[in-house]
Amino acid sequence: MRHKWLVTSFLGLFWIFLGLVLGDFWLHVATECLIMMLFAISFSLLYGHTGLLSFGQAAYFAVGAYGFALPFMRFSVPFPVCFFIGLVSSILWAWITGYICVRLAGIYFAIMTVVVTQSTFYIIFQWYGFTGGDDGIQGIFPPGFLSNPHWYYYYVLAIVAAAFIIYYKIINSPFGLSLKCIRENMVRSQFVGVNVHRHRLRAFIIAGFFAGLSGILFAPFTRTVVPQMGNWTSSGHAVFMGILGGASQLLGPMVGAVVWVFLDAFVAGFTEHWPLIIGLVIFTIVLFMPGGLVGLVTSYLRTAKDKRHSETWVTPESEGFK
Amino acid sequence: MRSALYFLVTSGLTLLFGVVGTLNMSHFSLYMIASYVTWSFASLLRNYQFSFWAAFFLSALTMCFLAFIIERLVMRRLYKRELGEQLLITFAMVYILDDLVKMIWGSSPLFVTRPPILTAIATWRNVNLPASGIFLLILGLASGLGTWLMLSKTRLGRISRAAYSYKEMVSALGIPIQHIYLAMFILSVFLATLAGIAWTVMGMVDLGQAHSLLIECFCVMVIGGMGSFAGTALSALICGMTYSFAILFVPKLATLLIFLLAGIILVIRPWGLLGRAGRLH
Repeated sequence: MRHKWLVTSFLGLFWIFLGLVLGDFWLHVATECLIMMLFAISFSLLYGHTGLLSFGQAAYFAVGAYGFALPFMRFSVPFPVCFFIGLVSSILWAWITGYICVRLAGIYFAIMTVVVTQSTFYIIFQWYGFTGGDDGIQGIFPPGFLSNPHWYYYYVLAIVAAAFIIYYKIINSPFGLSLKCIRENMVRSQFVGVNVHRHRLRAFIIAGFFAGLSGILFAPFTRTVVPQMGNWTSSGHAVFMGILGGASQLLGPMVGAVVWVFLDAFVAGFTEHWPLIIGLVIFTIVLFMPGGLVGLVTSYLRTAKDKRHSETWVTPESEGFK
Repeated sequence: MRSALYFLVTSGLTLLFGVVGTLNMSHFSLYMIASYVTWSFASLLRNYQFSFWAAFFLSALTMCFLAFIIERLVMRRLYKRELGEQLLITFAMVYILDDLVKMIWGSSPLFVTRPPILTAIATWRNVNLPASGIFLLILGLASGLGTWLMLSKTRLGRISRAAYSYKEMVSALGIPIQHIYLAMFILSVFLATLAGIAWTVMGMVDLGQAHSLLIECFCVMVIGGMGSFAGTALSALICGMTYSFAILFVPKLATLLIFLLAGIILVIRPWGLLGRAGRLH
């Protein structure tokens, strides 16, 4: 228990400390890490904790960003109101599309989410008069003190930290445990009286909420929104981060997002074949280390601990028993 | 014409999913690669008389060989794994294959020189039909009939239909199921190749061609019922019609209409038009 608090407070202080010391470029990278972490959480909640493989998180990411940017730029609505509109629109969209998607399971669900995200992309892309189509919306400057990158970093940090605590509470609540139960065996959880459809719909809406929130943070961060944010390759980024860190690990999304943003910043610098590398990394992780990076570390720590406690005995848990 | 294209692309997916139980997300990338390969052969052979038809056969052969390699290297490790992992791996393949295409052929759109017989326009009772459309229709019908005959009449077809229902029993009877899977994968890629070749006659070869078909073909698959061959044919017909009429009247909404159709069908019949309810989970 003490161990956990130590890690949490260390991480919190670490992120706060980063905001004080970093220069502009690194601050930019750190902010992006935080926003992407939120996006990865939205994928992890569905895949790692509920067992729903979603390729559709980008849809809510884009809807959140557009829901924020459109009233802000077109009708000059105040910042907090736009924030709220963005959230509500992504939640509503997740509700409507989720109602259809979560009726299905496994492969059907995955396909339906691809369809949803591609249609969202098409709606944004084709509705030229309203969304600006291919041009997107440019020049979204955050108002007042938020235009300072340091303050913007703390603003993002506060929201992401709050969202992370919510995420932590959810996956440890009775609701989160029943999600896990659904992941392990849907039919049995139906037998013990869990309303599978309603639980999965709720998880889907919460994931949509997280994705929308990260979209809202992302729009003023890059100053632009483009329809490509809702493309299924953009969902692929969430998938990549979630899988890389380990989708069912608590810190997985954070590690995945940090590694992703660093790779994105550096690999893209010296080669243009960035997608090839993404593909190869996903490949390796899925085939050889199912727990992701965090899973690898925890199973290593556990083995080390067991070795220290008993030199000769090898328990099934110590074998990275999955 | 649109229906035939949908059918060619989707039938391969459905076939693989039905018999083997794996959904290949990179199917569309393979379809795109087929177009590029056709372009390469056609431009290599452009000084000869039947360059397009030669390219047709050569690229079909090349793609079958490529399918063989992919099956041996990647797909065969996947069959025993969970659905989620299969999806993720084939999704990673989308990234890899798309980038390889960009690396080899560049990102500018390419055109295949069509043989004169395919650029003609046939007139029949005041209705003008482009020959390329007829070519696509014939290709769709022929491959549909061919696959159907193969499934219903030959030994391989009967075994694969058995594998669709009882995998364990088939391998228990001493049939090397790995070979069946290999054959099915190659066949599914072959169907995608036909679609890719047909596409070179219809339009330009570019990096976006796979992504623009993706949403429509997944909808076709879901509407028809996953793993149901006849269902795919039926829903390809419906979706193709919907698309063609929509493009006349409301061109911007054409793709969305198909999505809407899929949504409605899924609410009423979650297992699709001709699918089986038992296979839902």
